[in-house]
Amino acid sequence: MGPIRDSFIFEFLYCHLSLEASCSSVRIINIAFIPESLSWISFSLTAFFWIFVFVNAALIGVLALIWGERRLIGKFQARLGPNRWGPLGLFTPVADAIKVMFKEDIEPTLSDKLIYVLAPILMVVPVFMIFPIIPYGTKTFLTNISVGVVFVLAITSINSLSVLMAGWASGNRFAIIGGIRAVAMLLSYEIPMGISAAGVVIVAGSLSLSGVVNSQVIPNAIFQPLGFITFLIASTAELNRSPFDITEAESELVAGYMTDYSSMKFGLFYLGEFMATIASSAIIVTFYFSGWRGPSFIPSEIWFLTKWIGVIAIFIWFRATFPRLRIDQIMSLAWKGLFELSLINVLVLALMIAIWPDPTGIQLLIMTVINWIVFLVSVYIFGKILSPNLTGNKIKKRSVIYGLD
Amino acid sequence: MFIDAIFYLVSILLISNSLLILFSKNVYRSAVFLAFSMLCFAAMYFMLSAEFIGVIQILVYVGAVSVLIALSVMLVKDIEKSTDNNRLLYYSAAIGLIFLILISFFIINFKWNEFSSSILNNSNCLLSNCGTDPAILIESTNWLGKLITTDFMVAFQLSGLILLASLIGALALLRLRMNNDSK
Repeated sequence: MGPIRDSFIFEFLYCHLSLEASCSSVRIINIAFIPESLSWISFSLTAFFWIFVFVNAALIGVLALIWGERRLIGKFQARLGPNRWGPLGLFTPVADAIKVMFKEDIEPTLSDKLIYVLAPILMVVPVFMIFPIIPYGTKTFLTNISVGVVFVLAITSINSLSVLMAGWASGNRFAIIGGIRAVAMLLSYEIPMGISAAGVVIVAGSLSLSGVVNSQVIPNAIFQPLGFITFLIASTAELNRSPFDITEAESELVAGYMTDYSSMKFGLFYLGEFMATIASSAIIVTFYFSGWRGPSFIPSEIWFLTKWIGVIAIFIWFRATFPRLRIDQIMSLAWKGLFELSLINVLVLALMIAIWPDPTGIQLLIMTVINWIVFLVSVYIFGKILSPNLTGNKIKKRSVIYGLD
Repeated sequence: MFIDAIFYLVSILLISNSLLILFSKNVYRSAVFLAFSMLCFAAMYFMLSAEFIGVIQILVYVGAVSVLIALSVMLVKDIEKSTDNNRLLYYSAAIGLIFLILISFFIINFKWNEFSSSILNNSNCLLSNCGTDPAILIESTNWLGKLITTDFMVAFQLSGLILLASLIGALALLRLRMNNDSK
């Protein structure tokens, strides 16, 4: 059945169902009952079981994230946060979820009913597809597809279509403007995201996520800081989280493309966004924090989980502290800043890998030092070029030209 | 049998989505169905063990091209019933028919097996006996990457050059128009 059988957790369950000859070594208890000729039944049963587990784990993760985010932001802003329902307010997201489900479901008269319903589904379903391909531990992954890195980029790019569909189908001007703005932002930030992921692939020499994890002797966050920073900023923008939450800027666009959505349809958008945050953090851990690798006295899964929570906390920290950017600032950051920075990163890495295809310990250290020098110099130069003139003359002139006052 | 069932499921989805593109009166819905049929194409590529092409299909066509099509469809005058007053209906049907005949002629008369084996034999094959080995299918991405940077290097670079030229051309046209507007 192909590469999916590499996975330990899949093989384990499969072999306790199927009587296949190759399975006998994996089996701990002899409870298998499905004959080898009907292997597709045991295959689908195993697949459905693991899909069920992953989907529900993602949903519980979303509840935990909502609780953690609200508590942490409360701490950041010197207030309590949710604390009434259950110990430490743990049941608040459950109450929220029940409230969202029982709200009245309103469909605007001018909406395109079919696309209006399809858009939130298209937002949520692709995110579920990211969880099974992430290696959570040395043996704990569901499938190791050979094009994992590109797969992740491709799956996350689907949500721009969903945003545009939602914006148009609502039949509302605010929603259309919000949708178009969101799509412009998402498409722009996909480019620096993809190019900085190319830096990871160059170092790993492999497109599969397991290959990426295995290649990181020094975590990529330390080894290629420029790529890490561009990827982190670009994925924050891809997730529509603040400081890039211009798509749902309440004070400017009502609520962007989500204006006309109510009840569980709105809940699906909310769910998709939070789940994308979790998935994106897992991807950042895999790409830049060496995934499950760590000193072996702690199990690899625990290492992964610790790093994962850390990266989610970084996203929450961004949300709590940074002010929202204007749309022109967002676009110029993508095209004048991150795009060039990620290109510089790829160029430097490719040159060094061309000189040392298989770097040893000391060569890796030299490469890290060169990367840090390039990082500091280029960030300093681009900061000088892009930062607004502090006397204020330049900003005034430009905003008059574009009619933005 | 299991794979066959999935193949027929995806085929039915693909064909029905393609027909919906043609027969839905609402242009915006057509654009959305186009995106869905692109997803089905990607599933087809996955089943043919061409994972890389499948993933690129999603990345480029679903993530970017269908979004651009959906954006440009918003400029159509009457989105809800625009197929009713399409003046070029018969011309486009004729051109489509000609293309259908040409493509089916090509597919039927093309020596698929000979072509694939000739490629495998001529290029420096990266696996030991990749003519018959199913491992070639599992390692298809690796194989594709090495082939692009060795045998088809010139074609690959030329396609990049064409893309760059079209980008610069689009920018030049836009700049021209902006200058005219500002005067």
